[in-house]
Amino acid sequence: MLDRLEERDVLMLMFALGVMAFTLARRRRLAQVPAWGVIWASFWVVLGGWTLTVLEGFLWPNVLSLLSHLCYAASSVLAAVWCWLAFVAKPNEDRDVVRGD
Amino acid sequence: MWSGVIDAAGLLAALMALGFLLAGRRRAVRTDVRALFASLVLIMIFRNLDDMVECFGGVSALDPIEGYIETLSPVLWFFFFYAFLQGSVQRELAESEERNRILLESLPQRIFFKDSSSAFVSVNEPFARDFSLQPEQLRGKTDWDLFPRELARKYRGDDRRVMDTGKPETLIEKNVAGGVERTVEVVKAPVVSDEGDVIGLFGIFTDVTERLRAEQELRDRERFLNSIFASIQDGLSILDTDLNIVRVNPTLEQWYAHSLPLAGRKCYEAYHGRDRPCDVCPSRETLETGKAAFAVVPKSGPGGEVAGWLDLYTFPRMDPATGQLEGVIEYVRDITARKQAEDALQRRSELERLITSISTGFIDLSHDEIDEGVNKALRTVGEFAGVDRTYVFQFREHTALADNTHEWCAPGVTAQIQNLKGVSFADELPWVLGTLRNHEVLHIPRVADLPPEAESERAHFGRQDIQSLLAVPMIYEGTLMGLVGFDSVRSEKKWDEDAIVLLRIMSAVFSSALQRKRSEEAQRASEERYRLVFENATDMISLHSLDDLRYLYVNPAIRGNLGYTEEELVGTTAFRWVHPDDRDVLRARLSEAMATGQGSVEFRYRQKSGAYVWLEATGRTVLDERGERVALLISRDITDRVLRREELRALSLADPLTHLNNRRGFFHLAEQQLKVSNRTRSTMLLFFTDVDNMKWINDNLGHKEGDLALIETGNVLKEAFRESDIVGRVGGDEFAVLALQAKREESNEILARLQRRLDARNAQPDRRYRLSLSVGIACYEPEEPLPLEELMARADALMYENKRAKRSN
Repeated sequence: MLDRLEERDVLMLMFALGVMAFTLARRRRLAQVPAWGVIWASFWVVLGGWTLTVLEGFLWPNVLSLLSHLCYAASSVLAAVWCWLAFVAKPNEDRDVVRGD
Repeated sequence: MWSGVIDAAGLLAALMALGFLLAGRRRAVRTDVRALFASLVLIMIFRNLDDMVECFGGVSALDPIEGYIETLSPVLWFFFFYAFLQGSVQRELAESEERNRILLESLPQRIFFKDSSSAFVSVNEPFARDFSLQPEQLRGKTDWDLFPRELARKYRGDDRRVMDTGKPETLIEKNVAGGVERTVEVVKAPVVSDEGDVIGLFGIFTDVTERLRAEQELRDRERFLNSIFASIQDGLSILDTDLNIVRVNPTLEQWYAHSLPLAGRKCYEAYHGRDRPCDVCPSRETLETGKAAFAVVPKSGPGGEVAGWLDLYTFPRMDPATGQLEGVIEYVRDITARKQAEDALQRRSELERLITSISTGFIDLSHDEIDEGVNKALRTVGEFAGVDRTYVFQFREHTALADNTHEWCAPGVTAQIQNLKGVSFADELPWVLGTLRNHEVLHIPRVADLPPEAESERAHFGRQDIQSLLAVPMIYEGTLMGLVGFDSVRSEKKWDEDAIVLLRIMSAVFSSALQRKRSEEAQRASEERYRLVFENATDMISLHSLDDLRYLYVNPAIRGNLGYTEEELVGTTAFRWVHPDDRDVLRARLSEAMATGQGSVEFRYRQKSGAYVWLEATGRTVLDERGERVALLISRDITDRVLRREELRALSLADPLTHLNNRRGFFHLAEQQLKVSNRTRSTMLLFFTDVDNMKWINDNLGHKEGDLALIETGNVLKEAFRESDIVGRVGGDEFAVLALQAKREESNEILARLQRRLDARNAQPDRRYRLSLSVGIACYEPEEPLPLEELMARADALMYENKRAKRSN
């Protein structure tokens, strides 16, 4: 089964864990991002997908592969929701708005 | 298969996300952040598209590069988040600077920053405006450039101290800007670098000239109001809406010194010692209605007693800002003195009404109503004076004994009137009697404090439970006739001057009324006695009109003597029953008798049987019960005497020359009168006379002239004496007269009358001699009876003494 394990997946997972640590460390400040909960969930879901992709090289390749695809799709859905909230939908409170340059 | 479907859904979602990114008009994130996220979305599209193609068995053209692109995905996520963070910090800094700038510019305070050399680094707009400069024009300037020398030196010193100590300071100091002196409050604080070094200072100063002036004005006004608040002699109390005392002035604190502190307590607790609001309270009324109110309320003392009276005015206290009622202002005026004066005036008025009522009430009281009037007055006065017992004692037997004759007791007080009859003041109450005899008021506020000499009184009063006593003597025309007094048995009592005055007036009224009662009783007794005498007298007593002698009243003796009833006589004239021959004599003599009050008249009166009887009547005028003058006649039957007299005359007992009684006749009648005198206990006078110079008349003028002298002497004697007196010639030229019912002291008057008759005779013209008599007078006293001969001998001896005296003269 290990033949399904690719090095770049592992590398990508390691990068992703680093980003995860970064977001956790700066979570309070990042919370100012509009609809932060949605975008952060999208990141965690895609992180889950990457993790499952690595794990499917060790066990239950079909199941975990299916789950990883599910995570990628869910992450895309959450990203779409965030884009809607951040760029299309009207803000509920002014404090959610961060003006650009 | 399923993976392909899922990837297709993911692809669709990623495409939608890309669409939102491109089409969205909101600028919620910066463009670079949007671009980063767009890259991430593109990677999602590639991945989902590649996976979907693979799942459905196809070969994606992107597959060779998809893996490498996706590997960038975490990196893009990192930059996405990092870009957010960077944007946030910069934005915050910018916003912070903007806020600070706006804050500095919008603050009215003057703000400056100085470096360590006290040169201005930056200032805000208001600061620069004070010097008519722009903020940037002040940069690099120092205090020496802006302020007078002295101020600049001071400011520099303050700056150095703050920077040296590293501690901020707040200073109130003078400041001159634009030539205008002002007072400023300056806060100076050191500016410290990240390394902890003091690199300068910043200052904020505020022009407090107006504020201080306003504060000073406020303080002055507060002081002024406080001085007014404190100097008002009436009470002021400020309450909140829950009746809590917020503030009071010193006057009110002084009034309620026993209840301090007042502020913070409920008004009803502090002022009235109550645990709940008063039933009648103008403050509550003001709180309910929002309008001023007024009431007269009692002023409570330390023990809750009523110590005075207050006028309480309440006014609503409104919040000037909101117009809402926020409490009550109580304005309190002590009216105790005024109310006491009013009460005293009212009490005095009631007292005067009471005195007038009592005084006038007794005027119209009859004799029988006086006792009830006294009892009624005692009750009225007792209730008015608030005493337990009021009473009257009357002395009798020259103050030897006294009786409690009238008494009123308050409900629940034991009456003593039955126990106080025949009290010997001299034995039991000598000290009291002494005081009363001196006509002094007896005021004993405390029986226990009586002096040792009043030990008997203390015991006496103690038996009646008397604790205090007030008594005033009842005096009538200087005579102590009793006392009127107040007792207090339930408590000790000290009476005021009004009570004493009231008691004095009662004493005067009672003494007058009771004396009137005594007098009327005495008069009634006297009248009763006279009535008994009148009705039981054997002499006939009658009252007549003066003009025609009409009978007005007759006593029962009339019927016994004359046979007529009272009804038969009253209304008829007495002349109707008098013998016609005697009517003129009766009218003349009776008029004379009533005019002089002396003399009597004899006349014949026809009895009912028709027979005439001789009556001797004396008369005088008296006042009847209506005050009109009437004639009082006292008559007696002298028929026997007249008959005896006629009989004597018939027995030749008369002297034929003078027609007087001869010696025998005189002795006969005189002996009878001596018996009558002894029975009636009346005195008589015996006049023994001798004609002077009778021998000379006979020898020189002849015996005929001598006889005429004797006749003239007899006539003179008859004229000089009463008709009822017995006159006789008892010797040759000796005469004797027995004056009936005559007293010794009347002798001179009779002699004078005799002498006047003689003088009248001697004054006649052509007289040949002077008629003169020597007289000796002896008095017959029934208490010392003696024989007629002895009486004659005494008178004879005195006559000769008189004659010798004349001769010697």
